[in-house]
Amino acid sequence: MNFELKWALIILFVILLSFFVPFTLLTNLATWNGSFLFWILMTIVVIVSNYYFTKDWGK
Amino acid sequence: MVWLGIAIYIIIAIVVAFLSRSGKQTTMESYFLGDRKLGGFVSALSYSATTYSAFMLVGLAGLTYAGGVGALGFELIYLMGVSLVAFFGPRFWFAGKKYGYVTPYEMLGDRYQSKSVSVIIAFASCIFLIPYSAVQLSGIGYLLVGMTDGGITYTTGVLIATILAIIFSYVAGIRSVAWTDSLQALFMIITATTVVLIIVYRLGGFAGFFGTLESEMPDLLTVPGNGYFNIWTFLGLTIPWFFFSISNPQVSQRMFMPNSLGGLRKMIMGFMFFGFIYTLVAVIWGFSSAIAFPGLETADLATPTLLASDLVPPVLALIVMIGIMAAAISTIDSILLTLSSVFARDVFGNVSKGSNDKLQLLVGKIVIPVIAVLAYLFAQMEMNLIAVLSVASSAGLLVTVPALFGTFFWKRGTATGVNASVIVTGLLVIYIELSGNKPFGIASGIWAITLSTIIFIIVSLMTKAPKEKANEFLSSINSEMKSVYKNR
Repeated sequence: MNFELKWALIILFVILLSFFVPFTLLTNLATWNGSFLFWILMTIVVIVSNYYFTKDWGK
Repeated sequence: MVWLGIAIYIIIAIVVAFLSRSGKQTTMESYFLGDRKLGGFVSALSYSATTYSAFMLVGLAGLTYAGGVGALGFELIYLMGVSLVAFFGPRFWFAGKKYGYVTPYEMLGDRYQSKSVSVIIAFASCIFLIPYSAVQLSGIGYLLVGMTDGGITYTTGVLIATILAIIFSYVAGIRSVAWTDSLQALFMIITATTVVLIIVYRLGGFAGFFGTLESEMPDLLTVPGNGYFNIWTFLGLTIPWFFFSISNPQVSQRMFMPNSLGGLRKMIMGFMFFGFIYTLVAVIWGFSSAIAFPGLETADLATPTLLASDLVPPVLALIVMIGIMAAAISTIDSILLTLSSVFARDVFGNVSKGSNDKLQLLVGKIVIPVIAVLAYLFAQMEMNLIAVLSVASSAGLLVTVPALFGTFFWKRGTATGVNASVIVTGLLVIYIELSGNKPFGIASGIWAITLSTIIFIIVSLMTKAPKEKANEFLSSINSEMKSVYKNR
């Protein structure tokens, strides 16, 4: 599969999870390790993905 | 005391603005794009300062105060959306270098082979971005009033901000904007983080802080929680911001500026890191206010109240307050500069016969204060609900997103398709925002993105695409992209 498309789909998947999970699975988990932690983790995944994805730029 | 602080800030910032001058800015490209030679570090900081305005520590903290953790999700999903720059950024950058584009709309006009595309989108962006700047100005007004108990009036605050924004854009164009931006961003991230750490410590450390939230206001830790962030409100806020990095010209124009692809990469990664920290700071800030001062009249007071309280050492409170003001100014000056380049290049450049680069630069410089005054007048209307209004303006700019996707990914896109989608959907967004009634209860941003996409596709399929240009443009960009990822 096209390199860019692959990463686009990975990132898109994480973003969809960020919409879906807090509004379904985590609605009753009123602690710091509920939605608060979840969104933070998803963001870290996206940032790290971007880091790897753009590694070849300018080389 | 407050005046002294403001005076120190103004002096330092003006000195930095003048120091940033290097060489002569006698062309559009040098004045508005810094000759496409901006380093990665300055690009990243300036991108951060331009994106993050007074909204963060006032609006986002207020949203957290009112609706809880949903505010974090909203802002972090925006940040994830900046991944769009990883896909659009190099394409913008290559296209800008090859064809000499100064504004994103110049690129659209050329790619779709139609001056009307540039002119219409340029107008649309002014209609939506001038109110956005006004919202920033009024943010400063409210903040100064709140911090000084009315010692500085709303009008004075707004006036100071307007004048500074004009100065920073005038001294050396994008150079002075980028350097004052960078100063502001560094300053802000350090002081705001320090203050939040102090507040959390005073509210019982991490465990005590979340302990209080979990036991006394558990609603703030879930969505929909107290009902503020139901899924439709959440989508209505999130979707416009998700596309912010390509829909808003003051940031998309930045993709033309870095000195190399490596510089562009530093800009994205630096910004994401910055944004991540800053978002956490702003949200914890809002939570702190909810813990310490439940029951405020409006959520917009969350930050001023916290800053004026015993929880924050007075000197730090003053520094952060000035930092918030600087954050708003660093957003406004970039918008001023971008809109004036858009007006000069895309409106004046296309409408007037015999316009040249030099004349366009002159027009751009004349337009800067004109736009600033318009924003100032808008701010005098003292509008409430900072967050809602700035989202309304970014909802409006969503109408340009399908055209941008088409530019790089769809050969069949046509100028008529772009114009129809921008005009029809743009008017609909304005109608929804002005009348306040959302068709089927769905927010204007969601209407904007779906409707503009549908119209763009259908009208494009019915009209004739600029085949030759589309082929030439896409094959040249695609071959550049291929060489970037040649080892993959």
